[in-house]
Amino acid sequence: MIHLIIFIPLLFALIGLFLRGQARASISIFAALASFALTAVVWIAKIDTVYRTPWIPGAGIFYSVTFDGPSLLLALVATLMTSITLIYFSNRKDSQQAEGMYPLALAMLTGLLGIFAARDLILFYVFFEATLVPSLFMLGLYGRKNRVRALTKMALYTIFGGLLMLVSIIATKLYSNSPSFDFLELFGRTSQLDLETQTWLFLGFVAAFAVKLPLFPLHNWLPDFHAENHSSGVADVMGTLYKVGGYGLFRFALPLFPAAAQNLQWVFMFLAAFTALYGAWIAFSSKDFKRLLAYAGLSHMGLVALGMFSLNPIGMAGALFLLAFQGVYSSALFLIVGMLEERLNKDVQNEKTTSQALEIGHVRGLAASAPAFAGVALVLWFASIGVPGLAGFIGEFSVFLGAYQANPWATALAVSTVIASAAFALTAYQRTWLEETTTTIPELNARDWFVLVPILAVTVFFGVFSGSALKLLEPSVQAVAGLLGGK
Amino acid sequence: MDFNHNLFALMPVLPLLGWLVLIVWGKNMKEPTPGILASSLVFLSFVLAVVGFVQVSPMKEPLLNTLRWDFLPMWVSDAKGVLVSKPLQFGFALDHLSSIMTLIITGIGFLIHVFAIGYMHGDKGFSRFFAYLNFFIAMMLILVLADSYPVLFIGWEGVGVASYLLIGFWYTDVKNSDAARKAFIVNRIGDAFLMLGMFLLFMTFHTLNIHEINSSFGSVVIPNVTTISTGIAFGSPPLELAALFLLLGAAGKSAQLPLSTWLPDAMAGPTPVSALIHAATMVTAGVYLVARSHGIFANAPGASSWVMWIGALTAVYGALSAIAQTDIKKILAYSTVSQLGYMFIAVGSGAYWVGIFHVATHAFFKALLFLSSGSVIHAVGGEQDVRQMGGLREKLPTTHIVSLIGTLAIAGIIPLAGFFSKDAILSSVFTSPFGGDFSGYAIWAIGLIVAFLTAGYMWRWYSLVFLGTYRGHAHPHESSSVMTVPLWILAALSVVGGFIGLPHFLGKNVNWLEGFLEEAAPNALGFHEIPLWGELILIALALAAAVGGILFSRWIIARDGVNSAGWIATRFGNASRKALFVDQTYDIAVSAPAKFISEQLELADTHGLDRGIGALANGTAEAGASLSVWQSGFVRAYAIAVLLGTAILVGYLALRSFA
Amino acid sequence: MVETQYYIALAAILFSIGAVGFLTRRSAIQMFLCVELMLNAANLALVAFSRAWGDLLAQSAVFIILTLAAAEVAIGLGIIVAIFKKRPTTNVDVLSSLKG
Repeated sequence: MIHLIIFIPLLFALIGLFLRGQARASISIFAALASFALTAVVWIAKIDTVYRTPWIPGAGIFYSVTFDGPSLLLALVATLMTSITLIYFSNRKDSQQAEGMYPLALAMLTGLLGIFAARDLILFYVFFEATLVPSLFMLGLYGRKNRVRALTKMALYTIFGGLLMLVSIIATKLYSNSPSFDFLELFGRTSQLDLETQTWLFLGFVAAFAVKLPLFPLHNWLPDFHAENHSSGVADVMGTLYKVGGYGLFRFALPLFPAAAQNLQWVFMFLAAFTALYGAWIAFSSKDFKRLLAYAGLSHMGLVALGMFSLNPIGMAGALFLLAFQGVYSSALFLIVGMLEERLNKDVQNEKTTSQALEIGHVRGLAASAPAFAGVALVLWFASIGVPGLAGFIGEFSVFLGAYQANPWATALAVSTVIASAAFALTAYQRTWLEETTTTIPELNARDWFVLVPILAVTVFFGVFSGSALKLLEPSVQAVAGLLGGK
Repeated sequence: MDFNHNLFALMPVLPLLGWLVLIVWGKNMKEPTPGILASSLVFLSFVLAVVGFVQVSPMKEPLLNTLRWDFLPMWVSDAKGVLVSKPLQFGFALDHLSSIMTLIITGIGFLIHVFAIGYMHGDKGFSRFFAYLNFFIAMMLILVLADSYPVLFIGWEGVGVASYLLIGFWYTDVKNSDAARKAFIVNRIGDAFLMLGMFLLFMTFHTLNIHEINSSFGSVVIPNVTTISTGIAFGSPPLELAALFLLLGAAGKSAQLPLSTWLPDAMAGPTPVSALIHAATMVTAGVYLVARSHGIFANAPGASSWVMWIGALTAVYGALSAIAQTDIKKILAYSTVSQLGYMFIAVGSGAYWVGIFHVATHAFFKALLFLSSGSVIHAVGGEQDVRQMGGLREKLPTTHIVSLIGTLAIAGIIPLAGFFSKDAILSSVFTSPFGGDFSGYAIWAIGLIVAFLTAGYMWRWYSLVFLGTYRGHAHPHESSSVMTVPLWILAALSVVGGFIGLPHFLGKNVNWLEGFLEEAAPNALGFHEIPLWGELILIALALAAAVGGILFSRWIIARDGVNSAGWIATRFGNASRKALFVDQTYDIAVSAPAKFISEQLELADTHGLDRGIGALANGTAEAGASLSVWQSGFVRAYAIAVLLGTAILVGYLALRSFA
Repeated sequence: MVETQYYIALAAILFSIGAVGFLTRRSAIQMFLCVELMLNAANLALVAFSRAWGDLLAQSAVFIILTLAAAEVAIGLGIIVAIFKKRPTTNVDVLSSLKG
């Protein structure tokens, strides 16, 4: 079952390569939906067996996969959002010109599911880096004018961080005398290491995850990545789902090196809090929706890191919740921007009109002609800035609550983001949707609703009835927090 | 499922349902239908509130609904230090305090809904307006029914969202959108502090359930708490700090200094909104929060005295700013700021029932005054400048009479509602533990001055609008009965509303409200009785201030004429009109620098940091270029290099094996 | 039985011829032949040592090298033919477009 879930998208991506047009779109959407349905089955049937078989036995590398709570939640979000995004993309006028998006998105989905399922460090690393390839292809093939620059930046940051992690992974096995790279065999042994060794190994892991999160000052690739990607937002959604740094911290870095994590906790908490505030503050001056969303995402990731480094069960549960559901509403905001761009942009190939369509405040008062569209956008923005009653709040509040117990000062710094984020979100919203009408756009059509309704439903439902998602997170969080001597 | 226990939880569900229906199908409804639907749902909620009131009246403990679910992840350490998962439940509780609030919210909310059917007649966004109003009522009910702080916070930010939507209801005007945005952002500053307060409370009590925290003061002894009975003393530092955080949160929502600037701007919304949200209900949420957290504040005397001081300063600030305003709604807005300050004085002194008392009476007469001004604005064709009004006494007879009742009530003329609640506030300051020392006397004196000013500016409001001759150019006409009937009901309430809290000297049991709230929001310890003559003197002074204010105002208007040009041009008048320059100060000291830093950071992040990384990349490339000399392209050069290299390697190995 | 050192000497001579030829010739084909010569010199040495030590591993390695060399010859000649089609010469001194 689990292998089907992971590899169905890749398989259909390969099949899709031989098809054109509607057939390729249909089969790709089918694959993503099938993967989502099977993940849902795993959730409902509570299948959490670990599947483990030797892959490269000589080197102690196993193909070891399972979907436990946090992995399952993230996998559900990833498969759901990929399905929705592909449906959205097939509705776009310009989807014929960027057909390669379908197999690339599916390939990324396989990589993401692999990341969430892997329990062997090398396997994790392979998925972690392999997912980068389709992501770079999306940027390189369908990006905008300065894509090569953005691509180089992203590749350099990510690969460099990844290499440090690889070195750490190998060194971890070496120093801990473990027979394999399997997490379960490693983790009893690594906590016996002395503090200095732990710290260096920990920093190797953190390097990769801090780039991927990203954390200040390793975030610089992110705004360019989003700004230069295809204006449809498909690549941005996949990129948002690919922010797995927080998950990596929770799954590997923190439980493997508890002493180092405790020792460096305050440094990273301040760094995370600063990142959150920094992102939100800069977003206020962003002139382009993609960059704005990139900085908003940076701010969210600062909060995720804050929750993780709080080493407190409430904070970590909140961080995982936030990580999962920002994949829904932040992604949806990229789709909203894409829908808006499609309505405003007369010529997709033209760099100038595309820039104008993505510029904040270039057109105003859109709510007059498309009130429902404006309403949906507002709900998603409110979710993104953590208004209670929507999914964003649960994660954000829990992160703050947990982090405060560990470090009130860093948390106070981070809490000020709720002010900054309200300022930038409402300003950008007002400049586009409210004020005197300068242009009119078509209202959401049935296909758009088909894309947006599930997103709204998830955002509202898990903002109120968050229990079912929390149930998934509880056991793992409690186990990790127990290891870390959670306060 | 226990029906009786869950009935009251339907209260917020009904208007929420109305919101959903109106948002989805409202566009297709003909004009009065959305208004009638929304009003009847709020009326149903009001019926439920009455049922809940009857249910809860005889009970000592709060009524908890049984339909609950996990809402937030929480862990606590048990005695052995093992983590135990104890998720926070999403649940409601109805006790005497929230019952009073639900009655006010749904009752006044219903009247304002009905009024709005007439007021919003012909507006393009008719159904949208009622959708938002219903949403607001739902959120406000969640706020007062919540049994834990995070659930309260849902309502707390929810009413903020509703306020944002309604202030910016006519969003095509930049001014309205700006005002809405400002209200939300300033509120969020308060919210951030409220969150910090919750975190600190969780650190101290390991729970965020309001009733658990309040009741823990009876049994669990918090270290270092000194009782309030000895006058100003400090509770334990975390408790004081948490109370201060809550206070700042409350200040944001209730427009207290230093977060008061958003409320006057919020008058950009339609007038029923100003009445419902920005006078009667939402802005009193801060007072409710303090009363709800009475356990914390009663054990944090330091923070409580801050509550009083902030209230007192805001009361003066609001009153001074109201004096020279020329917008009919802005006068009332600053008056609201000032009256909210009064409520803060009451809850700060530890007399929580008095704060709620003033919340109720203020809701009656301020809603009345706002709706009256709505009726006036409606009649004179959208004009809001009081200098363009006057003489409306004959043209709008109903509106005139109810406005007069409202004016006298807020001024504190016996026996209208405002008199009793204002007197209760002033005497509570006197009889509270703070009463014996300087701060008690000072705050009491400030309260008296504010009473004088209130009577003054309200009389100015009344006489500029209704007395004299009409100075505008429209053709005023009385509003329809759908608007006047709510006015009459509110006027009646403004007259009799004070009798729920009669002063003590009339007998111990005549004060119904204090007795009713004895369990849910008991007074802080250390209140003392004062002799009858003392109480009579206090009442006489308060009355004298009110009457004096009205007479003074009459004299000024008689002297300077309607435009009051004589003194509005003075430096004081100018300062008053600009609301003591608080807004401008914030712009210069906070908004502008924050914006500047943001722009600089954005520049630095997109270009500066980039250049740094770029330099690294260029350096690497140059180093590579310098090595490329070796790639001559001549195959034989490579071959020689290989051969030489091999020779050196072999030579080295050979030599080493010999050595 | 012929002593191992003769085989080694022969291999060394073959290798030297190949090396000198590679350095002095300009025609790509001739250079290619010289490379083959060096390769087979190495093979000869391997086989000789293999026999001397009585270890068959080296001989099997030679088989692999031979098959690989055959493939390499095919590819190498293919490249040279392709170059010759595009350019009028196989003189390696002229073919220096890979200069860094």
